[in-house]
Amino acid sequence: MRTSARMTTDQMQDVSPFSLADLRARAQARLSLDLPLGAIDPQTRPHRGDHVLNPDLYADGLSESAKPAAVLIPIIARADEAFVLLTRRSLQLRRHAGQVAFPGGRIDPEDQGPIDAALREAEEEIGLARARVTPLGFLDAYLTHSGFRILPVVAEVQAPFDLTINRAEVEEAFEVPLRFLMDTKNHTRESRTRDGVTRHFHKMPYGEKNIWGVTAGIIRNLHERLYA
Amino acid sequence: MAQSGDNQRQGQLEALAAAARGKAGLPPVHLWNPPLCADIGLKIARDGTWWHQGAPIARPALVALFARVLRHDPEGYFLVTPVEKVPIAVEDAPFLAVSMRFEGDDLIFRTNLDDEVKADADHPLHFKAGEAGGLKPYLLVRANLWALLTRALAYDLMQRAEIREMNGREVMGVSSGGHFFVMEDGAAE
Repeated sequence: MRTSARMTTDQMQDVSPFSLADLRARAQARLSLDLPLGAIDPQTRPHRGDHVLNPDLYADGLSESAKPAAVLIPIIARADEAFVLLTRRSLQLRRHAGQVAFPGGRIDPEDQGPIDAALREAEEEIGLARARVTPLGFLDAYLTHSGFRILPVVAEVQAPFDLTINRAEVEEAFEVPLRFLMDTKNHTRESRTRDGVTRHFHKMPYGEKNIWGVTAGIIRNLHERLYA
Repeated sequence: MAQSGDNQRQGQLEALAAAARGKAGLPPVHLWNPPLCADIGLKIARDGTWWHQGAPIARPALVALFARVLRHDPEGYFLVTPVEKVPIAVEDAPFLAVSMRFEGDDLIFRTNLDDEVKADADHPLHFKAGEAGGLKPYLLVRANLWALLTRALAYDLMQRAEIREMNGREVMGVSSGGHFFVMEDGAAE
């Protein structure tokens, strides 16, 4: 049923499957702005996360202590193609310095929920004005090894827009074609083994931009939910 | 004869202990430069036990006292007092880390001599290749004196391993004290 609905959408719009209009239609059909399973309830372990790739990774209890966080997946229309906005974290940061990430961070008590937190963080980190952002829906909650329960918010960003990079937090912001990220030929799974212990992670390098780990895992989830 | 041999051995240790005794806190062994004394057959075994002429030193207080004046020089390990410098053989590392606990993002170790050490930039973890292809983790306790992690503790530490990006490549390691310690043979950072 879903397939035929999608075909209708494609036929109606007669555009690239990786256009913003197509993504919007898919998000409306398949995503929701209601909080997903395991989003905040400490007793529920999210179905997505580093623990899925590495089942031995956690003792029980990690999901209970995981801190709620939210990231924004900003999608932008450039001509007929949609692009995804990503950042590279500041090299001065204590955690995950220099790594590719979505704008986002912890959900503070002052935030009106995860969407508000994602919008606030995007404003603080790259100066993305929330007036230009329209949330389309949540992906699945993603549990990280570093102890976060991340809620990804897929959102459409109306171009043109200005960014003001906060250098204390972000090295740079850049856009990657959605078409590239949604092509599973660009998805790899790597692992490292030491002393009998193995850690797996997703990876999808885009030129010199090394997209891997949690960010790659969330992009995989975007693919599963919208394009698989 | 055995009796007098025992007495003589005991006398050596007591004399050294008397010289090593001092104020609370660690003595400034790095400032002392006494003449090298004869080897009296002291050894720290791989399992962290201390030996004197083939017999274990059974008194924990004595071992604790000696550990305070242990110094690692380029020529080897010595017990150092203001007046003497006695060589001591160390099979692997002078200390053994025997327990570990987590405090937030930090790993805190306890050694066989009851030192509590948080792994951080000043107390790094260091990994060497072990015998069977495994890794032997060490923790810097103080001034070039390292603790070997017990095998059980090394196993627990490995379970905490995660992937981080360092210099553009993904590497496996553990984090503590705001620092990421790469699990590679010989990786100092």
